[in-house]
Amino acid sequence: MDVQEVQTESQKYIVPDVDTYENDNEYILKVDMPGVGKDGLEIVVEENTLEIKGQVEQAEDDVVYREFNPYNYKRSFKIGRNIDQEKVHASVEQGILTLTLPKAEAVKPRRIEIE
Amino acid sequence: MLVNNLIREMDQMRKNFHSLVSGEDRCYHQDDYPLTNVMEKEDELIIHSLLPGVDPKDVEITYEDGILTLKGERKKNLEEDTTHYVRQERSYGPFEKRLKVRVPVEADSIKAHYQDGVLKVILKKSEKAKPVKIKIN
Repeated sequence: MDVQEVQTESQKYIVPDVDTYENDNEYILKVDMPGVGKDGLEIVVEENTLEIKGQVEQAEDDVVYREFNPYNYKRSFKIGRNIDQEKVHASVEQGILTLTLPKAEAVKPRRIEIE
Repeated sequence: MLVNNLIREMDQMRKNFHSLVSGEDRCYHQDDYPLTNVMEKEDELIIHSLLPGVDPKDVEITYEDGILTLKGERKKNLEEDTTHYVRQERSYGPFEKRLKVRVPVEADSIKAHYQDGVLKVILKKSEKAKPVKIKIN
């Protein structure tokens, strides 16, 4: 498997839900991070690990009824050599972070022409 | 003894919070979706609901008899046929959440806006629910 979870200390962070898709050229991760915009996001790829962090400062004093904790998201994945780590791309819209992880050229399926 | 008092006090605090605004009787909604926090200011209540990826046009907000209802659907949008799931954690489908608002609010001045996947509903307290400052002569 090219994308594998790394355990996050869940008492300190919200571990966001992630859907993972795959096609011939790439893996796509869709991460639910409501409340977080572009400025609150930090995505780091280092030594085969992809780390996603999202934080929003918000006054919490006035909360009188609570179902969710302050916006402090974190999740990490090990990514294999089959992913072109230089070309990982991220965008955020409507509280959903989309990460595109292109597959390295060597692992893409190739059509072999018959001579 | 002291600990018991503390527990009782905390319990009472919790009850007070819940008497102000609370999720309505469990049987009315299938789950807690969307997760919601309520903040109270001097003259308004602000409700934050986590609805990532939900088009605000697909959310119906109604207020009737002290109950605020958020109703809508989180739709799946898989862009291409060539893409398939490796793993799915996010959930989709219709939702309906009802919140009982126990503070009188002005029903005709309820405002809502959506940003970064969070729906914010602002309920203005009725005049009679606002704190009154008493001048000392």
